[in-house]
Amino acid sequence: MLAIFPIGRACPSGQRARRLLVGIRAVICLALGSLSMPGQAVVPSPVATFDWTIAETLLALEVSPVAMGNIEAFHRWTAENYLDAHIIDLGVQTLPNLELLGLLMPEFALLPPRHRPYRRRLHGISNGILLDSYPYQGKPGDTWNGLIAFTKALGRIVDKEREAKTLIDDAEKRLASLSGRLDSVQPLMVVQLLDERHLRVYGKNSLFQAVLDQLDLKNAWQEATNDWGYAVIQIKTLFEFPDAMLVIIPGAFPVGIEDRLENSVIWSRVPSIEQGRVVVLPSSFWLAGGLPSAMRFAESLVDGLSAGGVRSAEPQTGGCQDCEFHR
Amino acid sequence: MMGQAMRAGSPALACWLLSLPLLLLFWLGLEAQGGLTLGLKALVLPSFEDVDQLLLHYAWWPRLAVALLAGGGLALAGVLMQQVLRNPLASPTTLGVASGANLALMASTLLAPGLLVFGREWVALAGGGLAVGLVFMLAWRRGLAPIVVVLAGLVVNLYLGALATALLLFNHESLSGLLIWGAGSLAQNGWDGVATLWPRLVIGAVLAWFLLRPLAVLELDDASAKSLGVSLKYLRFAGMGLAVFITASIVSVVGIIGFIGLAAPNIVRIAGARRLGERLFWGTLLGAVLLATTDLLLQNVTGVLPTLIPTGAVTGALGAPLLMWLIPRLKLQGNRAPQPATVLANRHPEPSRLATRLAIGLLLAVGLGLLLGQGVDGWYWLSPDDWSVMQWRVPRVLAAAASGLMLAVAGTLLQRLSANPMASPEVLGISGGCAIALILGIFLLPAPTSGMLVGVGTLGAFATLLILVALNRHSGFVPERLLLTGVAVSALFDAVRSVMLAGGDPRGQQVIAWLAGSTYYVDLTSAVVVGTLAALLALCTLPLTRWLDILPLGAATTRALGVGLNRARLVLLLLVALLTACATLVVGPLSFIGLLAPHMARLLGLSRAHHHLLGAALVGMLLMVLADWVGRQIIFPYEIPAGLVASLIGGAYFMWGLRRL
Repeated sequence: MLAIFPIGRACPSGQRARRLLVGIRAVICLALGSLSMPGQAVVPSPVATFDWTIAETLLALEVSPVAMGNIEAFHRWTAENYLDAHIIDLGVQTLPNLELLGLLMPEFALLPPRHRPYRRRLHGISNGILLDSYPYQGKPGDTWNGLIAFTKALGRIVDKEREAKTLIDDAEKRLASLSGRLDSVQPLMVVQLLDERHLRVYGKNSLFQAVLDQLDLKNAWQEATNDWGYAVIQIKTLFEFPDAMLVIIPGAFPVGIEDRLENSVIWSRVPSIEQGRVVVLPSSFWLAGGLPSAMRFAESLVDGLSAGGVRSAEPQTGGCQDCEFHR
Repeated sequence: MMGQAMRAGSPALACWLLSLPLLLLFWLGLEAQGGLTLGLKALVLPSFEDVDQLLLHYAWWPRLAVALLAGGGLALAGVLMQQVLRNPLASPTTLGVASGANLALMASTLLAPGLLVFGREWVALAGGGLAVGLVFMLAWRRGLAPIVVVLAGLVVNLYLGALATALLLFNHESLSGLLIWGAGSLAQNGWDGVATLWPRLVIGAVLAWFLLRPLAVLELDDASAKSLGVSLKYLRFAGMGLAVFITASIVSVVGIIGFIGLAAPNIVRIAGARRLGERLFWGTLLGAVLLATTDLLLQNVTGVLPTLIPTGAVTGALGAPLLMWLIPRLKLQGNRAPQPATVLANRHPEPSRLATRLAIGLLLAVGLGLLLGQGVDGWYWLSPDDWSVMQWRVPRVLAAAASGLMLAVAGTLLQRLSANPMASPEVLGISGGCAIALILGIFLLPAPTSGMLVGVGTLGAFATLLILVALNRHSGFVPERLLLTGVAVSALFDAVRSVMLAGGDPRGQQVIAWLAGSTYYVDLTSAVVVGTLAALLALCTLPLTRWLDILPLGAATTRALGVGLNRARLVLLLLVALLTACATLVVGPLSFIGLLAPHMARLLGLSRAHHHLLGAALVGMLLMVLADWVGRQIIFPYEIPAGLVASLIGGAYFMWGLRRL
């Protein structure tokens, strides 16, 4: 099926192209009178959620949610660790398919606070449980402790308290040992390029801030951020942080940006770039994820930093095989 | 001060006065970065060891230059379009250049990223060019008649906008970089933008100078112009082609910048620039000044804000009040040449049989929407008594039908009221006003519940209505002015939306889903309420059909036939506002049905008011119910909002119909 989009195969957008193809296939199925879609095996499980952070943490607690929103993107953000889990796709997270959920009748539906409106509508299908301890709610506070409390709460709900405790303990132990591997203490700037003139910089309320705190690393960006912990800035703002180590998260790279940056005088004169203090991380964690994302971020960050910066820590999985951010 | 300049009738004075703030901001901006002399030195003889000078040379100066170039170019394109289309409302964004470029960039980011490596400017230029090509193709058979061109532009704009929203809905994270571009950020990293832009603008200006005399002929009406031996079709093609080339160049470099192309030409016109040459010259200068002023102002202000506020969105936001201020001062008909009769189709011989057929179609669509769907194992027919699934489908089908009905009726009322085929609730701005209020509600209220949002939305719709009435009371609700007010509100809405999206706030995605017009959020209670309201309001229009038959005949005829013009207009407007507010709360502001359904009824041959209303209502309901079903099924379990699907289905039909005319 993918062969129709040969360009798409080399890049993550191929998966998006596939979503269009699923639509086309549906039309063809209908036209041919074969009224059946390739069915997925239903593995009965008591839990459904529309939220990646909850889903990721559930999977780490060895509970496979029966259904979830936007699975392709989920796999992309979770380093394809959970490809084997039999999860039914409920559609895009902002519009999860309630009719399909109604047919599946999961016992619980776990909802982050922003999905509060669904609770009443789920009445009669499933017991909607609102997770008040959800870490990303735009309230100022300690994100790491938020993650811990959230993981524990989730463990209680799905009756996996012991696993939750193990997950937390392992994470803290691992972070402590990772922290021991680092000797440089430059302040970091965790950024994500939006185009050749703008980037997101992550700070308070973000997953990354929480991990940096645990690793005893300093974040150079102490200014205000939004609910998911980032602010949008211009490249020239980087000049205000001449000592910072740039940590570049790929994720949503606009294609072709590398060439444009290569040719940009301003970019090459950003002190961190000029002096080669750059780490490029693979896209293996969700930007507002749970403990598993936090751990994958921590591992790749420490790998990158101890490799001496500059190069990408691992071969890229995304559309950015040959990013060269160094001079 | 500005008022005096206007009365003195001197565009030069107006330009000069308006550029005083620019000079002040220019001076302030340089003072903040080390003073005027350092600034000039950084421009001419920069020493790159000094970071201040580096930033001045590669960021501050190029940004100012790009702002001046882009502003001037957009205004130039605006003057050309307004001249060619004989319509003071025409502007570079009207013809789909910006939305075409935007869609091309989004689609290539997702499906063929290789193209972007080749050159983003070229992708944008190709997209803009294709969109305008489509507009021209649609209007070619009618000799590129201004009204048809504008109408085709509007439809293409909405159509491409709907496609872009669909892509955005499913790929929000991957497209976040483009959202900044779409909101028009002028930030620069070097002189590349300037280097790309200035040669194209010089070419554009020279060509405009060559076209000056032939284009002046377009101030005459078609017949007189033809009698002077001018090929109107090719002249229009040349004028529009040039304007599109300029716009596309600018859009590809800095993104979508609203309003300059509309505001600058109108201000110089009011300031007394009558002849085309004057308007081109002063309009271009003023456009440059306006955009540069806005941008410098923004740079001084935004240092303290956590989110990025792109200039293009701000020009839209500032432009809206400006346009409202301009509206009472615009001479809309003035010395403009009389227009040829607008779109007409043959009358259907048996309207009632046609209506019956539409009603049967509607019933079938409702049956389809309720009974055929997909589950875990694929397609299946639902038995009508299976309430566990029906509870999801009934509210949606009901809400789709109700909103289709309301928008179609509102659109019919507006189009007959204004005798303007471009009129629709979306265009009147009531949807936009309602949406602005809702977006602000979602972002500013600490814990918005749906009840609160309904209240906020209704408030927004009525505030817009109040503005509409306040601005138009004195002129007696002249349709064109009313539509202009709507354009202003819509511009404000676009600005709010762009700022929200460019800032990258996570709540933005939820708002997009709602803006795309989904029946998803409707539960049974609200569906029943909406359905009842729709039926009641639609019944209210029945006693008014006499007015609707008479009003399109023009103000003089209407008065002669003994209809109180102002009262009739006010009553109908109130009804439109109510209908629109209700429908917007259900399916969002971008549904497009209000424009399409009345037209389709017309194209089917229903021209008497009560037939037209009935036909439009049936078409509207049919379209929405079908759109809702298709949207739920086509990429199951993913959903495409009904408003979007309706735009895509209806828009395609509409373009086909337009081409046939």
